Amino acid sequence: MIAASVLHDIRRIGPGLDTLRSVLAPGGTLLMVEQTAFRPWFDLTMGLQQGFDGYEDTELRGWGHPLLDLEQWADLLGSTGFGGSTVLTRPADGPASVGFDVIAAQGPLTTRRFDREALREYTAERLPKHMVPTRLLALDRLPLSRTGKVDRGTLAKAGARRTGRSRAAQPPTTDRQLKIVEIYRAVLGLSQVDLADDFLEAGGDSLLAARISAALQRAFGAEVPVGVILQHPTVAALDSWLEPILGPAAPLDDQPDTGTVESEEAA
Amino acid sequence: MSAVDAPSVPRWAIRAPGADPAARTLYCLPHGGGSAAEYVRWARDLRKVAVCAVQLPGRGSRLAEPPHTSMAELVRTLLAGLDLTPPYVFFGHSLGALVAYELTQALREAERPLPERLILSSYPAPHLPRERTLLHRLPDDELLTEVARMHGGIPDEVFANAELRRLAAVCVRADYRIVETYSWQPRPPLPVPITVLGGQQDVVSTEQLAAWAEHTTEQPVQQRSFPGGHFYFRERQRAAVLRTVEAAAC
Repeated sequence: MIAASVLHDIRRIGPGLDTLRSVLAPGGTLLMVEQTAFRPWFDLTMGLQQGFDGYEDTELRGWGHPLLDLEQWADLLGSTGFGGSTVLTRPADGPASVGFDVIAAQGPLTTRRFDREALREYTAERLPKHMVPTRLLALDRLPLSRTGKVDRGTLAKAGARRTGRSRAAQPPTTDRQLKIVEIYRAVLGLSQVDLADDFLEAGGDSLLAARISAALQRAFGAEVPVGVILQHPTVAALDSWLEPILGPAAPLDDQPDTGTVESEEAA
Repeated sequence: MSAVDAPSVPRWAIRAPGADPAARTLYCLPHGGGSAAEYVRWARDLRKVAVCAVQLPGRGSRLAEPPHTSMAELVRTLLAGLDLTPPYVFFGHSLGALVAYELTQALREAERPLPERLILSSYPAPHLPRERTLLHRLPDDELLTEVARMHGGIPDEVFANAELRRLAAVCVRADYRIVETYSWQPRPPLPVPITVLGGQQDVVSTEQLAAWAEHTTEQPVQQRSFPGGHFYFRERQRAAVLRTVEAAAC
């Protein structure tokens, strides 16, 4: 997880770091760039940006400024469950000389997950049937409304449509599939598309199919009618349709892409 | 890897993925010339309902199937093809509103579970006298130009692309044939509450929309109008419209 000069912008840094830690893969690293030394002349430009003074945790930003120093970051990372943090910049480095530091914080190696099935069995033994919950969801804390009561509206939304698909992702295995996936992602405006995602379930129509057709033409020089895209609604199906025309595609090298998984979860 | 064939079983509805399984289903019936896609995309903003967009033959993945030619045939095949497990709600825009009404009448005749509510958008109450048009007999390009002039809603990209023009004309023609050959048969009002939505600058007037009140025993009918034309929900107040649809459906 990489955060480039953005974390000081969080309204309340403590809860923000808590959230980041909770979505970090076990053992993942949070790499952050932060200005940790105060340079009054920076504020001539940065200070005019919207939201620069939007923080609410005034107890942290004691001197009326959103930026925190290295010591404060180390304390905060420690108190929000990060295993340890290291400053990667040396005093002589360029960034450090203008007050910027790169900090690496280690996420916890294990994440506690509650045992859904055990809890379900436990409640089933003790509660009348109609009171056994149908949905169990782990939350770091209950969402509260302004008046401090449990915010049932937010609670109802929690957990709905978190990932969209209920199966394992099927990433592209050839360079052609990778290119097609990129085209679908861009045209459909989605953060992720895999081989089995359904174009129609993603809101695709003939107009978007025409844009995909034009992009495929540019990428492969092959003419793919709109009708073919509509009737082969997954990247896998379309790739199979293209195979006899374009010939076999080169397999992708095995790339460990844990980084992608992390950023997706954080998104 | 194995080739994936186009589905051979007609796919009547596209259920947007990721919905809460306990949520009410919102069946969206498309407007004339429309496909399921626009309503599938609504699902990204409608969190409290499970959006299920109805796909009519002749469009989307059902491109190879001939489109319907009459309301009676369309309703008969919808009755057979849609799951309609309660609780559910119908949303219909324009032609979709008329289909939602006819489908609900047919469900009542078949003694099947009825929707919890009809959300009807931008279509006059069906018993009102209508100006007779015969757009469905026009050649492709004239048909699209005329429909775009009356209602808008056909993107410029369609006009710029011969294949898209041809695909659009097939659906628009079929749907206008359904509307232009439709005649309302008097039937008692439905025991289903109705919400009516419309655009303030649309050719469909507030009075024509208010007349839907005659088709339900559940009074009063909720009526809301938004700034904008026939496709008011594509305009600036899209979020407000979707909130209204969601509130009516829940």
